[in-house]
Amino acid sequence: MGILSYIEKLREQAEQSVMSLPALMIKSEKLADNIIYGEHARRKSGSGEKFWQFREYDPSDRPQDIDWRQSAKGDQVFIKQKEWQITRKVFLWCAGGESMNFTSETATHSKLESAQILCLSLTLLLRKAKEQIGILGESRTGRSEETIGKIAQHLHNRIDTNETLPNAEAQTLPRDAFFVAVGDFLSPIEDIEESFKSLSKQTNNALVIQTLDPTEIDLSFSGRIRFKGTDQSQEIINHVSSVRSAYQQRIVAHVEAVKDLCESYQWHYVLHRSDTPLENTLKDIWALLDAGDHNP
Amino acid sequence: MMAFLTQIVFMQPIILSALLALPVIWYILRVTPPAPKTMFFPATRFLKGLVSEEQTPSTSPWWILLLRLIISALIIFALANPVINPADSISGYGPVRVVMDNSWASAQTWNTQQDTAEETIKQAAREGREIYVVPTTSVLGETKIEQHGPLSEGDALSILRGMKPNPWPAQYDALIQTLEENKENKSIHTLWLSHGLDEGNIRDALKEVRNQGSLSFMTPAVEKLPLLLRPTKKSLSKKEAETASDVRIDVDGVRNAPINVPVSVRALAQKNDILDVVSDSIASDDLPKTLSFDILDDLVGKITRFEISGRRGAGALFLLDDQFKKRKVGIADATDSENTAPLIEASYYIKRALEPFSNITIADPITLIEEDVSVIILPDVGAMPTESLNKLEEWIKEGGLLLRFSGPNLANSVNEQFLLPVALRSGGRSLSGSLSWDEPQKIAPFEENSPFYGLPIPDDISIKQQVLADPEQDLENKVWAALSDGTPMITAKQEEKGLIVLVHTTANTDWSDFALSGLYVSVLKRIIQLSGSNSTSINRDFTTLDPLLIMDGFGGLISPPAAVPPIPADKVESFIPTSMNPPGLYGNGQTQYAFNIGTHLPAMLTAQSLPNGVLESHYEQDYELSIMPYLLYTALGLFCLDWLIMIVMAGSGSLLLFRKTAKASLVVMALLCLSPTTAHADENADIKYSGGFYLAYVKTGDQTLDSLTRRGLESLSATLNQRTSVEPDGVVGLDPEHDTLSFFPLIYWAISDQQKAYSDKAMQNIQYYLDHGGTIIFDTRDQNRSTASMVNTENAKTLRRITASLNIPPIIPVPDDHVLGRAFYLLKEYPGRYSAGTLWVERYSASGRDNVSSVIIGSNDWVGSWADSYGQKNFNRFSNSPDSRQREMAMRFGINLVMYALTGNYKADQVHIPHILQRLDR
Repeated sequence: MGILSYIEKLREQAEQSVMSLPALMIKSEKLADNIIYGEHARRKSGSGEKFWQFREYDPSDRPQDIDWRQSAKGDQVFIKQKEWQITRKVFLWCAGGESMNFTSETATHSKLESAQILCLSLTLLLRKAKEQIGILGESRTGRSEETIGKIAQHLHNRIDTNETLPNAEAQTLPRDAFFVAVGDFLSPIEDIEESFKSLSKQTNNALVIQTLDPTEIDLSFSGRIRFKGTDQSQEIINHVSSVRSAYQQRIVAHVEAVKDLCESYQWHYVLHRSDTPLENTLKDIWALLDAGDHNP
Repeated sequence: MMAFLTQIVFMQPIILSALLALPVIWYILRVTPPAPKTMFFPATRFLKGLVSEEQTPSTSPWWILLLRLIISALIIFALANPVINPADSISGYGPVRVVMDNSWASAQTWNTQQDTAEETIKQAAREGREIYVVPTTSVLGETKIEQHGPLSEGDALSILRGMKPNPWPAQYDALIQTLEENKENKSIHTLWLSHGLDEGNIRDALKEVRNQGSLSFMTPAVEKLPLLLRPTKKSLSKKEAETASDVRIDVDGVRNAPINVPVSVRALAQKNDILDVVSDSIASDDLPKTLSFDILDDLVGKITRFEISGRRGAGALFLLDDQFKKRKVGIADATDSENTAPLIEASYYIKRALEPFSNITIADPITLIEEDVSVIILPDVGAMPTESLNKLEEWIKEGGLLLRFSGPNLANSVNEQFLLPVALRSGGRSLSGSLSWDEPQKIAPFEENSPFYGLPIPDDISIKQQVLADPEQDLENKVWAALSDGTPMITAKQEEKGLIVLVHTTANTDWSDFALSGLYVSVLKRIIQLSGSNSTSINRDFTTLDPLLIMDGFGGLISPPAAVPPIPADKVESFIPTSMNPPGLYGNGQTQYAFNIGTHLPAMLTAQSLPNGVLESHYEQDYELSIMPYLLYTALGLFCLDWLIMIVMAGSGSLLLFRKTAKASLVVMALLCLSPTTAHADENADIKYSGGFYLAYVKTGDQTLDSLTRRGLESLSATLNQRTSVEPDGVVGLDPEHDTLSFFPLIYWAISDQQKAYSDKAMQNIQYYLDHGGTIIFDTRDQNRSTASMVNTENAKTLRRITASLNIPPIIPVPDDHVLGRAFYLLKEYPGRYSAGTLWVERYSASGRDNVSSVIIGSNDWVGSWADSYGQKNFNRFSNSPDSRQREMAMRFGINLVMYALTGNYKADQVHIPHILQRLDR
């Protein structure tokens, strides 16, 4: 499969999965001022599309700003002020490498594919909300078709990288930027802690999506199997069914630990099983993040 | 059961000690679980340290362990090479020599001998001893026997398998000579695989062998000793003669061993039609046993040979020639005086002499002529009614043979001489008696141009009285036999198509004691044989008889190679086949003599009173049988079972894997099942081909050519259906390597330079086909490329390469009057796609194949032309364009060819000659 067709397919799947969802505007309490027009109301007058207030004309105002319809109701001359609306910057990070490139027989996508589609779907949803989207490590953000193409290209290249955890040193995030990290987060919890800690210094608005294969959660094998890990390690289990519950305890504990870590930074956490439809996970994310103050 | 078990011996018993390792194997199998599946799993880290509670449970169930142990045990047993009925080790040390009896009698015990020899050679090779192989007869055309060796096992086996019995007696003298020449310092242990007979001086040969080392002499069991067919010599007693039939043959066996075996002898006509079968048992106290066949007189002449059913070789086959055919002989003697004075009557002597080989009628000449006899004998007749005389003369001119004897009547009737080869002087001549000064005369040796040349003349014959011939110009040419003083004894004269023979003395003992000698019978026999052959000439060359067909060791008839010299006629009477002159059919011109091994062979005796120290034993009934392959097959089967079980068990882990491997095993199963079904199909094909007439061609491996040939033959087949009553059922491509050729009367062989070389087996197959009545037409298809002759083109070279190892008789360009030109259509030339090529056929066809040439060779590419007409059912054969005319002619040749192969010389029949001549002239 060529790169382009892979990307096209990724895009198509992403388009499909976001079809039923409205634009996702990440809710935010406090946003830095910036001049780029967006959907986030600043609750003060500025450039924007929404009506904010009428104010008495002041000689310093430009005559063009006078709202004649309002002024004709009385003697005073009013100026119509609009609310100041700005955008948010969202930075995406997607894990890559061998570990992500795993599909069991029951799953429809590999973990990486799921993560890629999730990222791209989020990109599309955010674009609907006119947010600025970028990739961690590449400081430019945007919402043009070109940017989306670049993001798709970047996601595709993740296969070749071996980044299992986001690297905070890659870029200093702008203030109030929103950070989305997608990956399996199967690294030792200490490594994850360290990575998240350094990230948390840069942002406190983040979403962690952990994509796991169903077999990684359930260990639904039986018989005698030699398991090979990413780091050349291998484990021979004579009767997989006999260790299943022990394994499940461990993996659940790990997932819980990741979740707790996120909560400690007040980040959002979503778990995605690669055998469940992506739409469901997207809906969860939407419900979790969307501010709800959309334009009528 | 125990007896059976005790016969198993392990050739490599040391390997059995590996059985001790079985418990170890058990332990290893037990602790070694089946190989785990390997899979990549990112969360492997979380499995670290997890241990399943049971370490070895259900790793391998006990019955799988048992199965594997059985497999291991089977393999160990198989490697130990167990053998049922092992050959005893060969006694002695040093080299081993196998003397293989391969004279005529060996054909009947050949398989036993060969199996034993094979076993011996293998055993000798196992013991690491040198092997020599020596036969007891030389190869055809040589007198010296070759000893092979020292040989490796493979060479010895291949020499052994290439060895065939020969249809002549063992050459012990040559064997002794060979043994002496190859004498070595070492002592050689000899194993003599004999057929049980002593063919002369076997004692000397055994002594010579014994001098060189120890000797084991193997003989067949008594009931398997060879039998021999001989011509009947016993004359029947008068009582028997009334009941027994005329067709008789003797079966002989060994005299000095108590045999009692059932035999059945078949009388066969041409093409192996069985005329009669007689079964009896042969006991040693009643030898030779005469078997009488009950065959209608009309059919007696059709018998070509006798065979002992179930036995092979020259001894079990007795060929018949013209001599055997009984001729109707009439004795013109109206007087019924036999009863009054039987012992002095001339006709009595004649009758007694001729009885064994002719049907005799006694009547007056006119009745005899009406009865259509071939010889009329007039014993001392002086005068005869004019009417009888005229009829007799007419009969002679039409081809009758008149044999006259002299006597007082003839001597005194010189004034009215009739039907005599020479003019006679009156009164005759008395050579002894009271008034004669002369001594009784002896018979002079026969001249070379006499039909009696070669017959031995007993000393005690004296002729006391004779009739004398008047001297005349060509008297010498008329004399067949003379007395020692030069006066004629037997004279003969050609009378148009017929022959008149006069014996210048009496048929009884009145004038001579010639009638009491064996010569009398031989002379009469030879004279009578001359009857009925159109080309009878008094001045024929009787000195040699050329080989026409010779017998091979198994009793098959083959064309003689050039090495076989003619038989001098003076040896005919006591001929015993040799390596120079094997038995078979010999002759010249129209006469055929059958020489059989049994005719003059001395009485058969078993080899007895062997020299001291010779170990005599009989061939074993059971042969060594290695059961290693069976054990290995069983192990393989169990291994497959184990494998299937593994698949099923692994399948519980992953269904997908099971499905894949299941597919693979289905393919394997299908392959395994495939081979028996093809063999079955072969048999069905054979049944199909034997039930109809199929045109056949040889697959050359050149796809284009093969399909061309097929189309050509299909086209020919369609035309045959359309125009003739030959309705081929189809066209068959043959591979001489595997296919049976014998179902096809005609095989078309288009030569291609891509033709692959054939194995010896295929060549034998083809040779057998040619020798047994088949016809192959070779078509080099390159007339355009050859110049004057078909000598140097690629295809011609290929043809020569293929046929180099075939025994093809001499060929000539097809003569103008060949049957091929008139088998159906009248053809002057035989065009195919090319028209100028010469067609070659056999010069003389062997008897028994109806003059059909076994090979027809040409270069005109007939199939090409036939294939051109393919599918054009109604191509305009009357069109005048040269192209379609030639195509039509090619088709006509094809029809003639098939007709020729099917009907033989039927159209050569003289009946149509005037008609055909008339049409040809036009």
